[in-house]
Amino acid sequence: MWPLIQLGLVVLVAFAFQATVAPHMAVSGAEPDIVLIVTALYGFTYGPQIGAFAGFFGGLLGDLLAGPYVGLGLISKSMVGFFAGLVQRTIFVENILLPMLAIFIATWIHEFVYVAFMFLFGEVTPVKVLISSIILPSAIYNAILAPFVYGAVRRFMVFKQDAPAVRIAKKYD
Amino acid sequence: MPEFFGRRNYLILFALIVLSMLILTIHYREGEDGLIHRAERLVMAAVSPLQTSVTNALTPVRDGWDYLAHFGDLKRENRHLKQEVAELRGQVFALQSLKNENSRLQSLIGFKDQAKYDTIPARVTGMPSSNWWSSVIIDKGVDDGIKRNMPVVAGGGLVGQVADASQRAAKVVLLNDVQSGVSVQVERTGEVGVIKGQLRDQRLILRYISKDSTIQNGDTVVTSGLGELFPKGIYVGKVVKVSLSSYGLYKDVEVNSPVDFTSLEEVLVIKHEPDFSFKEGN
Repeated sequence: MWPLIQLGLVVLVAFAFQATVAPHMAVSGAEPDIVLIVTALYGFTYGPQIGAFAGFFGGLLGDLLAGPYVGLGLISKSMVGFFAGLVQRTIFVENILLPMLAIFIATWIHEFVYVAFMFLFGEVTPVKVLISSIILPSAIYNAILAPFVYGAVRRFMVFKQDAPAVRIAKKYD
Repeated sequence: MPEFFGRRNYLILFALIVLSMLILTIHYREGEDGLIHRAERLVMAAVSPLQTSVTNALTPVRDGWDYLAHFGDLKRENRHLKQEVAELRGQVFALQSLKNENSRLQSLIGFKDQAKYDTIPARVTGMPSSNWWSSVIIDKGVDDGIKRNMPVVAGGGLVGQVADASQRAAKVVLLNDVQSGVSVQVERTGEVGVIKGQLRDQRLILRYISKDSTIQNGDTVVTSGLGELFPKGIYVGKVVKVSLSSYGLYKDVEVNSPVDFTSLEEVLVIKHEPDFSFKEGN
């Protein structure tokens, strides 16, 4: 039970950071998505289930504060956490560029899932504007921040790890 | 087969997505006092003091950085503004006498003053972080007389509308939000259209202006008052681009707002309540 509570607290702190500090870190309108980074990190480190739960909780908090549609962020972040978990064994083993690339791709998945559901609600945005204004800048920003966020939260990631994850942890310790 | 392709994992994802859709549906259909709407207000009330503290702490840093980064520009702007103030003072005196004369003439013919609305000054304490939606949190709420749907202005133009309010904070959806839509009027031609946001861009899109319209750059756009959500005549912006797509029935019109949506600090909430209420999303 304690690991789950700790996961909840880490996501809660990430959300508080997202709600208070991230808006001040905007560059040309693009803001980092700290909750997304944390979600993906949980997925990469502990697999699909934990990743999806982290995404669900983070997405719920984000939607309750910012989104007019409470539920869209839940879906997109749950999916990011889940799919990040599917590649957990291959990410944190080589060098720092891999997790950055993984977060970059995770941001694209997140935004495209979001766009798909927005489309269902009748919100149509030109793809060019979408990519140049939101997806690409956010993906780059999130990728740059990923190592720093990982450095800040990894000591609080306390789930029992299976063999590959232990290997990863040793490499970084 | 590797464990990560296991059926159980996908069942959990499926369950979470179904649960998300359920929450989405309930939120869309429930009323203002529904569970999720109350949870939204609770989160806003909890986060608002944190946002205020962080904004207070970071404002001097940001101001200092802006000062250093734009020192040259500031000097030029200051010189220019001093000249402008001197010219405007002259105009104000002239206008004041015209206003007095106008009042006298109106009272002579029995005109009533157009409705003037009280305003509630508020400070922007935070911006709910999302790349998709444009909104701000202000430090005034229900306790201060703020109600849902009240219009918000700043910097000489329309900023947006109160979307939700807790006891001491409120969320204002900005005019440049993709979901925002306000009925407006082009002052010179009298045509009515709808102003929409486009993904946090400063420029707004004016829709439903006929291809036969004579609208041109520099035309002033104000709220039309139709629908009664916004009082008539609030300044929205100036037309900066007019084009006609090959197969379009309408002109593509871009409007530049005087409001810098990215750095709002103080706003005025107009105490204007529509005669009816509507549900968000409908």
